[in-house]
Amino acid sequence: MEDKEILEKFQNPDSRNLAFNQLVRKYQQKVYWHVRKMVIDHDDADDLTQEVFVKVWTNLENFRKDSQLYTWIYRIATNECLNFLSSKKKRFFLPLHDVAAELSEKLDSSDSFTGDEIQLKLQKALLRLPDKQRLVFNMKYFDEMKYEEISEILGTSVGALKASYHIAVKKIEEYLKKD
Amino acid sequence: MEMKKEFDMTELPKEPGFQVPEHYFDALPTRIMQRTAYASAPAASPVTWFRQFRTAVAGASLGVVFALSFLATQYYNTDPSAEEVMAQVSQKDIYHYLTTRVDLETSDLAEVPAVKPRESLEFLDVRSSDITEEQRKELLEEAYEYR
Repeated sequence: MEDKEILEKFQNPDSRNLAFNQLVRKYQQKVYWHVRKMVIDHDDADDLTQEVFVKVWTNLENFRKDSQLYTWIYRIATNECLNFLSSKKKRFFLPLHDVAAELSEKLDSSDSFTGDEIQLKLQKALLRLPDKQRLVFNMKYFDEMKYEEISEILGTSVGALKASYHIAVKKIEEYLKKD
Repeated sequence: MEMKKEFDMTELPKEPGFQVPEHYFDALPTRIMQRTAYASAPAASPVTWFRQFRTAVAGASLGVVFALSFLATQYYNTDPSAEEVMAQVSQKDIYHYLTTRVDLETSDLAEVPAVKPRESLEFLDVRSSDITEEQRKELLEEAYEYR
Protein backbone atom coordinates (compact mmCIF):
# COMPACT_ATOMS: atom_id res chain seq x y z
CA MET A 1 0.00 0.00 0.00
CA GLU A 2 1.37 3.42 -0.95
CA ASP A 3 1.97 6.03 1.75
CA LYS A 4 -0.70 8.28 0.24
CA GLU A 5 -3.30 5.52 0.46
CA ILE A 6 -2.25 4.69 4.03
CA LEU A 7 -2.70 8.32 5.06
CA GLU A 8 -6.10 8.57 3.36
CA LYS A 9 -7.33 5.39 5.01
CA PHE A 10 -6.00 6.54 8.37
CA GLN A 11 -8.19 9.65 8.19
CA ASN A 12 -11.28 7.44 7.94
CA PRO A 13 -12.20 6.01 11.38
CA ASP A 14 -13.53 2.82 9.74
CA SER A 15 -10.22 1.99 8.06
CA ARG A 16 -7.84 3.62 10.57
CA ASN A 17 -6.67 0.42 12.25
CA LEU A 18 -6.16 -1.32 8.93
CA ALA A 19 -4.11 1.60 7.62
CA PHE A 20 -1.94 1.74 10.72
CA ASN A 21 -1.36 -1.99 10.59
CA GLN A 22 -0.18 -1.60 7.00
CA LEU A 23 2.10 1.25 8.03
CA VAL A 24 3.67 -0.81 10.81
CA ARG A 25 4.24 -3.77 8.50
CA LYS A 26 5.78 -1.51 5.87
CA TYR A 27 8.19 0.35 8.16
CA GLN A 28 8.85 -1.95 11.11
CA GLN A 29 12.11 -3.38 9.77
CA LYS A 30 13.52 -0.04 8.64
CA VAL A 31 12.76 1.50 12.03
CA TYR A 32 14.03 -1.48 13.99
CA TRP A 33 17.35 -1.73 12.15
CA HIS A 34 17.87 2.02 12.28
CA VAL A 35 17.39 1.88 16.05
CA ARG A 36 19.26 -1.38 16.58
CA LYS A 37 22.44 -0.08 14.91
CA MET A 38 22.41 2.81 17.36
CA VAL A 39 21.53 1.06 20.64
CA ILE A 40 23.09 -2.35 19.80
CA ASP A 41 20.97 -4.33 22.30
CA HIS A 42 17.91 -6.13 20.89
CA ASP A 43 15.67 -5.54 23.92
CA ASP A 44 16.42 -1.81 23.89
CA ALA A 45 15.81 -1.71 20.14
CA ASP A 46 12.52 -3.57 20.60
CA ASP A 47 11.31 -1.11 23.27
CA LEU A 48 12.34 1.91 21.23
CA THR A 49 10.77 0.59 18.02
CA GLN A 50 7.46 0.21 19.82
CA GLU A 51 7.80 3.71 21.27
CA VAL A 52 8.43 5.08 17.80
CA PHE A 53 5.20 3.57 16.46
CA VAL A 54 3.23 4.71 19.51
CA LYS A 55 4.37 8.25 18.70
CA VAL A 56 3.52 7.74 15.03
CA TRP A 57 0.01 6.56 16.02
CA THR A 58 -0.51 9.52 18.34
CA ASN A 59 0.71 12.15 15.90
CA LEU A 60 -0.15 10.76 12.47
CA GLU A 61 -3.46 12.63 12.40
CA ASN A 62 -1.51 15.90 12.52
CA PHE A 63 1.17 14.77 10.06
CA ARG A 64 1.79 17.53 7.56
CA LYS A 65 2.30 16.26 4.08
CA ASP A 66 5.09 18.76 3.40
CA SER A 67 7.54 15.92 4.10
CA GLN A 68 7.46 12.27 3.12
CA LEU A 69 5.99 9.78 5.56
CA TYR A 70 9.13 7.62 5.80
CA THR A 71 11.26 10.75 6.42
CA TRP A 72 8.95 11.75 9.25
CA ILE A 73 9.06 8.26 10.79
CA TYR A 74 12.87 8.15 10.50
CA ARG A 75 13.04 11.50 12.27
CA ILE A 76 10.96 10.19 15.17
CA ALA A 77 13.12 7.07 15.35
CA THR A 78 16.32 9.12 15.30
CA ASN A 79 15.12 11.37 18.11
CA GLU A 80 14.14 8.34 20.18
CA CYS A 81 17.64 6.88 19.74
CA LEU A 82 19.46 10.08 20.61
CA ASN A 83 17.24 10.68 23.66
CA PHE A 84 17.77 7.10 24.82
CA LEU A 85 21.56 7.32 24.56
CA SER A 86 21.60 10.75 26.16
CA SER A 87 19.47 9.61 29.10
CA LYS A 88 21.69 6.55 29.50
CA LYS A 89 24.71 8.79 29.95
CA LYS A 90 22.90 11.11 32.35
CA ARG A 91 21.38 8.31 34.39
CA PHE A 92 24.71 6.69 35.20
CA PHE A 93 26.88 9.85 34.93
CA LEU A 94 28.83 8.08 32.22
CA PRO A 95 31.16 9.83 29.80
CA LEU A 96 30.78 9.00 26.09
CA HIS A 97 33.67 6.56 26.21
CA ASP A 98 32.12 4.45 28.97
CA VAL A 99 28.81 4.17 27.12
CA ALA A 100 30.80 3.01 24.07
CA ALA A 101 32.61 0.48 26.25
CA GLU A 102 29.33 -0.79 27.68
CA LEU A 103 27.82 -1.19 24.21
CA SER A 104 31.04 -2.81 23.00
CA GLU A 105 30.77 -5.41 25.76
CA LYS A 106 27.22 -6.12 24.68
CA LEU A 107 28.52 -6.83 21.19
CA ASP A 108 30.94 -9.39 22.59
CA SER A 109 28.45 -11.08 24.85
CA SER A 110 25.28 -10.89 22.81
CA ASP A 111 23.92 -14.03 21.18
CA SER A 112 22.09 -11.89 18.69
CA PHE A 113 25.30 -10.53 17.15
CA THR A 114 26.35 -13.14 14.64
CA GLY A 115 28.67 -11.09 12.46
CA ASP A 116 32.18 -12.14 11.56
CA GLU A 117 35.40 -10.62 12.89
CA ILE A 118 35.48 -7.69 10.50
CA GLN A 119 31.83 -6.86 11.21
CA LEU A 120 32.56 -6.88 14.94
CA LYS A 121 35.56 -4.62 14.43
CA LEU A 122 33.54 -2.22 12.35
CA GLN A 123 30.81 -2.01 14.99
CA LYS A 124 33.36 -1.38 17.72
CA ALA A 125 34.97 1.31 15.61
CA LEU A 126 31.55 2.92 15.11
CA LEU A 127 30.92 2.97 18.84
CA ARG A 128 33.92 5.28 19.26
CA LEU A 129 32.24 7.94 17.14
CA PRO A 130 29.95 10.65 18.55
CA ASP A 131 26.29 9.58 18.34
CA LYS A 132 25.35 11.98 15.53
CA GLN A 133 28.41 11.05 13.47
CA ARG A 134 27.60 7.37 13.94
CA LEU A 135 24.04 8.10 12.86
CA VAL A 136 25.23 9.76 9.64
CA PHE A 137 27.60 6.88 8.89
CA ASN A 138 24.87 4.26 9.46
CA MET A 139 22.37 6.03 7.23
CA LYS A 140 24.90 6.62 4.44
CA TYR A 141 26.87 3.39 4.58
CA PHE A 142 24.40 0.68 5.68
CA ASP A 143 21.08 2.20 4.58
CA GLU A 144 22.60 3.78 1.44
CA MET A 145 20.48 6.88 1.80
CA LYS A 146 21.13 10.01 -0.22
CA TYR A 147 22.59 13.02 1.53
CA GLU A 148 19.44 14.98 0.65
CA GLU A 149 17.26 12.43 2.45
CA ILE A 150 19.54 12.37 5.51
CA SER A 151 19.50 16.17 5.45
CA GLU A 152 15.71 16.21 5.58
CA ILE A 153 15.64 13.75 8.48
CA LEU A 154 18.37 15.29 10.61
CA GLY A 155 17.81 18.91 9.64
CA THR A 156 21.51 19.28 8.79
CA SER A 157 22.91 20.73 5.57
CA VAL A 158 24.21 18.38 2.89
CA GLY A 159 27.67 19.96 3.15
CA ALA A 160 27.84 19.33 6.88
CA LEU A 161 26.69 15.74 6.37
CA LYS A 162 29.39 15.09 3.76
CA ALA A 163 32.00 16.47 6.12
CA SER A 164 30.64 14.38 8.99
CA TYR A 165 30.68 11.20 6.91
CA HIS A 166 34.23 11.90 5.66
CA ILE A 167 35.50 12.39 9.22
CA ALA A 168 33.71 9.21 10.35
CA VAL A 169 35.32 7.16 7.56
CA LYS A 170 38.78 8.51 8.42
CA LYS A 171 38.32 7.61 12.10
CA ILE A 172 37.14 4.10 11.22
CA GLU A 173 40.09 3.62 8.88
CA GLU A 174 42.51 4.65 11.59
CA TYR A 175 40.88 2.38 14.15
CA LEU A 176 40.89 -0.64 11.85
CA LYS A 177 44.50 -0.02 10.70
CA LYS A 178 45.65 0.28 14.31
CA ASP A 179 44.09 -3.05 15.20
CA MET B 1 58.21 -10.19 5.98
CA GLU B 2 54.43 -10.02 5.64
CA MET B 3 53.02 -6.72 4.27
CA LYS B 4 50.10 -5.20 6.18
CA LYS B 5 47.04 -5.09 3.93
CA GLU B 6 45.82 -1.60 2.97
CA PHE B 7 42.48 -0.66 4.41
CA ASP B 8 39.68 -0.51 1.81
CA MET B 9 36.17 0.68 2.69
CA THR B 10 34.69 -1.17 -0.27
CA GLU B 11 35.77 -4.48 1.28
CA LEU B 12 33.84 -3.82 4.46
CA PRO B 13 30.55 -5.70 4.83
CA LYS B 14 27.31 -3.83 4.21
CA GLU B 15 25.50 -5.96 6.78
CA PRO B 16 25.93 -4.89 10.40
CA GLY B 17 25.86 -8.50 11.65
CA PHE B 18 22.92 -8.34 14.06
CA GLN B 19 20.21 -10.97 14.37
CA VAL B 20 16.67 -10.88 15.73
CA PRO B 21 14.76 -13.69 17.47
CA GLU B 22 12.87 -16.07 15.20
CA HIS B 23 9.52 -14.71 13.92
CA TYR B 24 10.23 -11.40 15.62
CA PHE B 25 8.89 -9.30 12.73
CA ASP B 26 5.82 -11.55 12.39
CA ALA B 27 4.76 -10.80 15.97
CA LEU B 28 5.88 -7.17 16.25
CA PRO B 29 2.90 -5.58 14.40
CA THR B 30 0.41 -7.28 16.74
CA ARG B 31 2.31 -6.09 19.81
CA ILE B 32 2.39 -2.55 18.46
CA MET B 33 -1.30 -2.64 17.52
CA GLN B 34 -2.16 -3.76 21.06
CA ARG B 35 -0.39 -0.69 22.42
CA THR B 36 -1.97 1.69 19.91
CA ALA B 37 -5.00 1.02 17.72
CA TYR B 38 -6.48 -1.78 19.85
CA ALA B 39 -5.80 0.05 23.13
CA SER B 40 -7.56 3.35 22.55
CA ALA B 41 -8.45 5.97 20.00
CA PRO B 42 -5.70 8.48 19.20
CA ALA B 43 -5.72 11.58 21.31
CA ALA B 44 -7.72 14.31 19.64
CA SER B 45 -5.64 17.26 18.54
CA PRO B 46 -6.56 20.77 19.71
CA VAL B 47 -7.83 21.53 16.21
CA THR B 48 -10.01 18.41 16.15
CA TRP B 49 -11.21 19.13 19.68
CA PHE B 50 -12.17 22.68 18.70
CA ARG B 51 -14.09 21.43 15.65
CA GLN B 52 -16.00 18.89 17.75
CA PHE B 53 -16.72 21.54 20.39
CA ARG B 54 -17.94 23.99 17.74
CA THR B 55 -20.31 21.39 16.25
CA ALA B 56 -21.61 20.48 19.70
CA VAL B 57 -22.25 24.14 20.57
CA ALA B 58 -24.09 24.70 17.28
CA GLY B 59 -26.29 21.66 17.90
CA ALA B 60 -27.00 22.68 21.49
CA SER B 61 -27.89 26.23 20.39
CA LEU B 62 -30.42 24.94 17.91
CA GLY B 63 -31.96 22.77 20.62
CA VAL B 64 -32.22 25.73 23.00
CA VAL B 65 -33.88 27.86 20.29
CA PHE B 66 -36.49 25.17 19.62
CA ALA B 67 -37.13 24.66 23.33
CA LEU B 68 -37.60 28.40 23.94
CA SER B 69 -39.93 28.68 20.94
CA PHE B 70 -42.07 25.82 22.26
CA LEU B 71 -42.26 27.28 25.77
CA ALA B 72 -43.10 30.73 24.40
CA THR B 73 -46.06 29.35 22.44
CA GLN B 74 -47.24 27.47 25.54
CA TYR B 75 -47.10 30.40 27.96
CA TYR B 76 -47.94 33.34 25.73
CA ASN B 77 -50.77 31.90 23.59
CA THR B 78 -53.86 33.98 24.65
CA ASP B 79 -56.35 32.40 22.21
CA PRO B 80 -59.10 30.61 24.24
CA SER B 81 -59.77 26.94 23.57
CA ALA B 82 -62.91 25.67 21.79
CA GLU B 83 -64.36 24.43 25.10
CA GLU B 84 -63.87 27.85 26.68
CA VAL B 85 -65.64 29.57 23.78
CA MET B 86 -68.55 27.14 23.85
CA ALA B 87 -68.95 27.63 27.62
CA GLN B 88 -69.65 31.29 26.98
CA VAL B 89 -72.53 30.52 24.56
CA SER B 90 -75.93 30.11 26.16
CA GLN B 91 -78.09 27.05 25.60
CA LYS B 92 -80.70 29.31 24.01
CA ASP B 93 -78.27 30.58 21.39
CA ILE B 94 -77.13 27.04 20.62
CA TYR B 95 -80.74 25.95 20.27
CA HIS B 96 -81.46 28.89 17.99
CA TYR B 97 -78.42 28.15 15.86
CA LEU B 98 -79.26 24.50 15.53
CA THR B 99 -82.89 25.17 14.57
CA THR B 100 -82.12 27.80 11.98
CA ARG B 101 -78.72 26.95 10.48
CA VAL B 102 -78.16 23.24 10.75
CA ASP B 103 -79.97 20.37 9.05
CA LEU B 104 -80.46 17.67 11.61
CA GLU B 105 -81.86 14.18 11.37
CA THR B 106 -84.12 12.74 14.03
CA SER B 107 -81.38 10.39 15.01
CA ASP B 108 -79.27 13.38 15.96
CA LEU B 109 -81.85 14.47 18.43
CA ALA B 110 -81.67 11.20 20.26
CA GLU B 111 -78.11 12.13 21.18
CA VAL B 112 -79.29 15.32 22.86
CA PRO B 113 -80.90 14.45 26.20
CA ALA B 114 -81.08 18.08 27.28
CA VAL B 115 -83.83 18.76 24.72
CA LYS B 116 -87.27 19.07 26.32
CA PRO B 117 -90.04 16.78 25.01
CA ARG B 118 -92.36 19.61 24.04
CA GLU B 119 -89.62 21.11 21.93
CA SER B 120 -88.99 17.86 20.07
CA LEU B 121 -91.45 18.65 17.36
CA GLU B 122 -89.58 21.77 16.57
CA PHE B 123 -86.36 19.72 16.17
CA LEU B 124 -88.24 17.32 13.83
CA ASP B 125 -88.73 20.25 11.51
CA VAL B 126 -92.27 19.03 10.75
CA ARG B 127 -94.61 21.55 9.31
CA SER B 128 -97.87 22.04 11.28
CA SER B 129 -99.93 21.81 8.06
CA ASP B 130 -98.57 18.31 7.52
CA ILE B 131 -99.53 17.33 11.05
CA THR B 132 -103.03 18.72 10.56
CA GLU B 133 -103.38 16.81 7.32
CA GLU B 134 -102.20 13.61 8.99
CA GLN B 135 -104.69 14.04 11.84
CA ARG B 136 -107.51 14.70 9.36
CA LYS B 137 -106.71 11.44 7.54
CA GLU B 138 -106.74 9.51 10.81
CA LEU B 139 -110.14 10.94 11.73
CA LEU B 140 -111.54 10.00 8.31
CA GLU B 141 -110.24 6.45 8.61
CA GLU B 142 -111.74 6.07 12.07
CA ALA B 143 -115.12 7.37 10.83
CA TYR B 144 -115.10 4.91 7.91
CA GLU B 145 -114.32 1.96 10.23
CA TYR B 146 -117.26 2.78 12.51
CA ARG B 147 -119.75 2.65 9.67
